Amino acid sequence: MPDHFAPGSASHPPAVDRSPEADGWRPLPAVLNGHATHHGTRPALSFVDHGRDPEGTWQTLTFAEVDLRARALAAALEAGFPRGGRVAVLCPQSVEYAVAVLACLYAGMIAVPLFPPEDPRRTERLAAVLADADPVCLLSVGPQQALCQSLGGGRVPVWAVEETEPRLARDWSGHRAGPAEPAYLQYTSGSTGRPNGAVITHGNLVASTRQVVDGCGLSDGTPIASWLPLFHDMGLNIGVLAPMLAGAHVALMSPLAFIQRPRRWLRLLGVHRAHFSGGPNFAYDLCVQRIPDAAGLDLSSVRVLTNGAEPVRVDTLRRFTEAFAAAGLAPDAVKPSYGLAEATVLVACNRVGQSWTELALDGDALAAGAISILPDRDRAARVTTVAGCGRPVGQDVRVADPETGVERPPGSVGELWVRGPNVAAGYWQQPGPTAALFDRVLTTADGGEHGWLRTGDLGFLHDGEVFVLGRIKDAIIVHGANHAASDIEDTVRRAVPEAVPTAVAAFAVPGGDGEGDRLVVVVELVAGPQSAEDIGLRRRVRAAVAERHGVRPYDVLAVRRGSLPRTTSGKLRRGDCRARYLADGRSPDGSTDSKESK
Amino acid sequence: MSRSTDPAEMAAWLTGRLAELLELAPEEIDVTVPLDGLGVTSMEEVTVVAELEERYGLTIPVADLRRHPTVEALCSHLAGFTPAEVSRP
Repeated sequence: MPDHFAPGSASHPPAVDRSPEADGWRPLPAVLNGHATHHGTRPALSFVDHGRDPEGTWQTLTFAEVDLRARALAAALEAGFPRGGRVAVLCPQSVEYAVAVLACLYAGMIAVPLFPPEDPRRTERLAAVLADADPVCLLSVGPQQALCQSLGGGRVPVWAVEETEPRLARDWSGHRAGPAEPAYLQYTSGSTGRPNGAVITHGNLVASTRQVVDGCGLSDGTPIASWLPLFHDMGLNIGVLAPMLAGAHVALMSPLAFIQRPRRWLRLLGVHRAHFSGGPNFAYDLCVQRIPDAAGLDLSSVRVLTNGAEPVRVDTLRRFTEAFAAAGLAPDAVKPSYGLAEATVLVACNRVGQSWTELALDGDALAAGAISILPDRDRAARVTTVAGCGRPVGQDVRVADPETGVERPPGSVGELWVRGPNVAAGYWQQPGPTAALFDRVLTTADGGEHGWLRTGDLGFLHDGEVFVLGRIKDAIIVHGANHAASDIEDTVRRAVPEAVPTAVAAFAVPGGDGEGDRLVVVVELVAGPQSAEDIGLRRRVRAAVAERHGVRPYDVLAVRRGSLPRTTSGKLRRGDCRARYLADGRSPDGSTDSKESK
Repeated sequence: MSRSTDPAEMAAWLTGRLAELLELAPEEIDVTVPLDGLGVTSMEEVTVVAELEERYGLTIPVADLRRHPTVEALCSHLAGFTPAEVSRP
């Protein structure tokens, strides 16, 4: 392990830290190098560009070509920088992006998968991550080199991936990373606060990718397609790591091309005869909304479409499955799944050939933290229907009391805790947050067990299956991106000086049909709630939050000063604000607000 | 299906669409302010541009939007284009 790698928690090495030689340890580059040797002429990585031709132009590299390009860039990196330096990948979605990440793995550099500095809404976030990761080099592509130069302040070299001289490949050192060596930093999405980069070791990478390969039934004969951004944990895994480990052919397209015309994704699945793909819940809703008919689509090859990275909605699963049945989509193809960057990517998923489980829960029991399954969902007044995320893949999941760390008995709700070879080593140079979440002690009937990750997710286990109910942490997940409530509140405070600074609350509530979660902002105004309209509160809050965080509040509410629930020390109780909002049909001070909610 | 690419007509349509999205009156949309400054998220931006493409039979590279980020600038820029003869996926 490089000496400048300083994880927050070094006292307990990750469980994967086995003897490399004894169990035939092979890091991903060794596996990929093997594919190049044994079936080098097979297609490995395609990028389908919808930018010029609306039908999509294919660019394809074989396994030998991917391996050659990765070795060439790796050799250049090795010649330029000390091993273990961070290398930020700022390429657009492309084959170059995949080559850049793989080259870092070959060279023993720590990859930092990021995105190009194109969107002014995200440059602040990018700058914060770069400051945290402190890269020795930025990898980009020609047209964007200048933009990246200015981002690095001219001090950090910017390389264009496609300009790497292929002849350099023979100079690659053949470095074979040990399982405890950091492979990449996975920064969690969305938040504008201090960024947290999960340190994914080579051991985590291989263990996690094997879990994906096994859990999703992948082999070298199962084509994969993905539009998910490669800087996202699920995007990187489905789009690069899983296919390169399994030896499968992946076809990538850009997230933008998907958002513009969702039909392109489904078409790609058919054209590529894809077995495996995935997306957050909103992607499935978007397809149903924007693709009026399934004519001309062929989804008969699809076995696994993971639905993860944001809360899974039963209605979405049903609607999508129904809408595209006519295109040959198998009724069990969509797979609710659960994962998080701190566990590299996947924790649990529904297996091939198995349909998801739906449970109708008694809403009142649930609010009290107990699971009471209703046999007939029409009988009770308050029913919450949840979809199971399947069984854990190659790791342990337990339910714990988030306050005490004591394991909860079956049938009760608590925080999901995870332990396995895929759990990250900690956050990059963040001892505080690392110690709070990683390597926790779970107290069971038999005593204490080390090595558990607190996920911050609320859920329960039923028949060995993981069910996720929401976040314990004050995080708001919209379109697959996590937004810390405190960040959004900071933005609101800055945009609205008329607000009582200690009385701004942001929280998520479930949206209607075909929607993800909705963001709600509640403020106490110095001059009283009646002044909200005069000061243009709603417009200002919505614009400021959208500009900074890329998500627009659905509802903005002003309440009487002193009316929001607080702790005895005067701190706002966000969870109670949310509960009151939901219980009272919206207004968290208990009053009914006259303003129409839209 | 392509319509005229009169910049004024296009700007009026785009202003109306953004107003609908942002829940504002069309006259509150400042056509000289970049879309992100108006509070349009990047996903909405892409969606609106896709609608614009479909409505006017254009192909609009995202880079164009970055170079011409306001309603006024984008519409004047696009008015210079003739509708592309493309079959949409």
